[in-house]
Amino acid sequence: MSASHTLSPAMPTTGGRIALVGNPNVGKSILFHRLTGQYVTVSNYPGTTVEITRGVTRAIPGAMIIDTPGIVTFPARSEDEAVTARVLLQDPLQAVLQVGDAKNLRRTLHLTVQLAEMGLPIVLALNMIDEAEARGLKLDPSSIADALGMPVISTIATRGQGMHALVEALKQAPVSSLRLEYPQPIEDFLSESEGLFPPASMSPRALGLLWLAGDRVVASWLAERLTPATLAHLQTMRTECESRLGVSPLDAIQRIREDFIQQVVERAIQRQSTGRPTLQSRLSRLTTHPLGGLAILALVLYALYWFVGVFGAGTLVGLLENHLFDQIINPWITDHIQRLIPWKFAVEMLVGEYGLWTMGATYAFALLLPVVTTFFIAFGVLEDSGYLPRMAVLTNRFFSWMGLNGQAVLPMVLGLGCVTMATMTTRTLPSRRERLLVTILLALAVPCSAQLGVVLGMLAGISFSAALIWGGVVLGVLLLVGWLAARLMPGERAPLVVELPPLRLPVLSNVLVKTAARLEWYIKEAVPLFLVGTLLLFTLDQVHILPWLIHATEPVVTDWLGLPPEAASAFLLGIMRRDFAATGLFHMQNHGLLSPLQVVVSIVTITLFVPCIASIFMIAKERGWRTTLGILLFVFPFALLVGGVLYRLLLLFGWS
Amino acid sequence: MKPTLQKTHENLVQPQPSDERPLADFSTDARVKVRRFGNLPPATLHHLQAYGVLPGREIRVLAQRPLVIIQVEESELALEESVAREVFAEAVQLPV
Ligand SMILES: Nc1nc2c(ncn2[C@@H]2O[C@H](COP(=O)(O)OP(=O)(O)OP(=O)(O)O)[C@@H](O)[C@H]2O)c(=O)[nH]1
Ligand SMILES: [Mg+2]
Repeated sequence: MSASHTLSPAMPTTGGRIALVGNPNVGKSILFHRLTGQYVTVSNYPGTTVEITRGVTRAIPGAMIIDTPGIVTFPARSEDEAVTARVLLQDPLQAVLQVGDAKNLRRTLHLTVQLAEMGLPIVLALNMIDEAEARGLKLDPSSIADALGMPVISTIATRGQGMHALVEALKQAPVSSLRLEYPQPIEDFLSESEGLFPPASMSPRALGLLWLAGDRVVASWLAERLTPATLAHLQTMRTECESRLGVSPLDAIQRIREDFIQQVVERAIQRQSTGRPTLQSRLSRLTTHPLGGLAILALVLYALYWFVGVFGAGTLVGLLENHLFDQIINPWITDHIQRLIPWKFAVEMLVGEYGLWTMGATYAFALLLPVVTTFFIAFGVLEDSGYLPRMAVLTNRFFSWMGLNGQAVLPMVLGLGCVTMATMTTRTLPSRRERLLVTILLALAVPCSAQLGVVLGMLAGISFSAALIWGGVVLGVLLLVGWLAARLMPGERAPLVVELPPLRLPVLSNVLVKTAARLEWYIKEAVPLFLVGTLLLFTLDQVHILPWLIHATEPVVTDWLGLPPEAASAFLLGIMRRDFAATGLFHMQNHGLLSPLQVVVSIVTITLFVPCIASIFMIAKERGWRTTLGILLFVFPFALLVGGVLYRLLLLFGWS
Repeated sequence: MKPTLQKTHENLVQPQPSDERPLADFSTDARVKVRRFGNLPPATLHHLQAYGVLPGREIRVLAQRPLVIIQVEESELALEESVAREVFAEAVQLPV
């Protein structure tokens, strides 16, 4: 109100960055949401977050909160873990908030010790206390706090429990007093190297330990800042330390840490877990059982097909498109626009055959919105149940034919939601080769939400055998191309070691918020492109290029794929977004313009198209433009090739 | 879960240290103590260790097929057989 307020002595500013760091899938993102009110994806599997998000919290004025990808341990193993390592290395941090899983205390402390050694103010949130208690575990946070010299707060992030205490602790977070003594050769290295390191967010001691452990993030960070001579000197010192130790420094360091953790845990655990098999653990066994697991997988896929294909694309689209839009809204709008606007060109542009409203908006809202909504709901439920990583167990063998391991299943399944996002999730894979292979397969053979929903709807309109043919062909292509690509790109295949999160009952609010966030993204990203695409078709039609194009592509569309010539315009849009093409085909099917055989051929072809422009940019960002161009040049002709071959095979076997 | 008298006898008769076997050779639901690692890629080894698969630690074998699934503390890890062959452990003798 008055100027004197702004002139009064400033509050002691606590301004600075607070990084949320912890093992994967322990609740960092949900805590971030609690602190900042800003939604970031929360799902029940390791590797949900693959890049950093920043936000502010009202509870600590001036502070910036940073959500990071989960890290199992240092040195970072994959690109997403490296993102977190870099935050700790070079962001000016006010404090670190470690989020730990209370029921996995040893693993949590394994990271705590490493973070404490970095010399940053630190608070440990022992999260998921509810799950620890449900298993009969009882912990004593104060004894952990004493041993580690840092505040330890019990929290249940899903219920917001412990948030107040957490914020208070963060406001005055101390630097941990923990200091472990390592064997003499290591201590000697640490004191000698101290002066050689450039200033970093973390202590020189932590830098030295990471350097000894062969951390690649630290190595490349140092390489940018030190003279080659200093770097070579550090290298010599490491070799010397190693030969004095007689074992690898990392092993020696780990042993000391583990001995310490053992002592802390013995005092902190007041009651051991009962270890009795719960319903949850029995169900968990069933999902990965060689036979039972496959039965459950089939059930899950069928449920998805039913909910999205039959209910979403069938019932809901039927109501919206055929009843609401075709019979009520569109005639009304067309009528009014024709009466109000005398200019024929404008009328055509809005409500003509390729009208912004009659095609663009109708496709986007009447056909696609119900489909993506049902899909996102079903997918959110699957994500939050913890089922997805279990598919890695069932499909590992399948992926090993492609020189991959079951870990690749997660980005692939996430691709069913959105290939663009899933391309980013390939960061969780350990090697460059695996990331590239999965990127190619994602671009080629993984259908994504909107398109998948439409495809399921079209198949539901024919027969289950059509669905099997489509699924079989796409899966076959995936295997074949994966197998070939793996032969062309030989390299080490990393054996699978993957964490299976506990099965959890999905929380309705999280599923709904997540669905809403995804719908918002969908509307912002896809709908404008739909309108642009429609406008493009309209323009091409007005200047008489479209009929010519349709005629020109007839050898491919009609002769090779056996489709009606009009399908060409759908395929043209498919270059921009393949769900748009799928919608165009869906519309044709709804109006009796495609036979079942034509439906199957056209949707197989369009499934194999590159997903959308956004995904092309994402591939380029993660893999570079040359690779992207190579993928594009391969995918389009290949999709058409498979479509034509399928057409001939189906004819040969007389399927209809 | 309760040890039978017979079992304890067996244990008394042969307290051999060579009870060591790869994880892939235990029956499901066995409680085992990790002894040592065989030949594993360093990245895989350190990953396992970070999850708490360390000599001296007790873990549980939950499944053998299609992959080996173990429980370390309260988390489940799925391992390929090639990895489970290189982690050696001994059965934990249940307290009397
Ligand atoms: N029961 C229970 N579940 C929790 C708690 N905190 C988080 N969760 C669940 O744990 C899962 C993971 O939460 P996220 O916030 O995505 O975890 P994250 O640490 O960000 O995971 P990554 O980004 O994959 O590293 C979700 O299913 C949450 O609902 C808790 O205190 N209790
Ligand atoms: Mg997260």
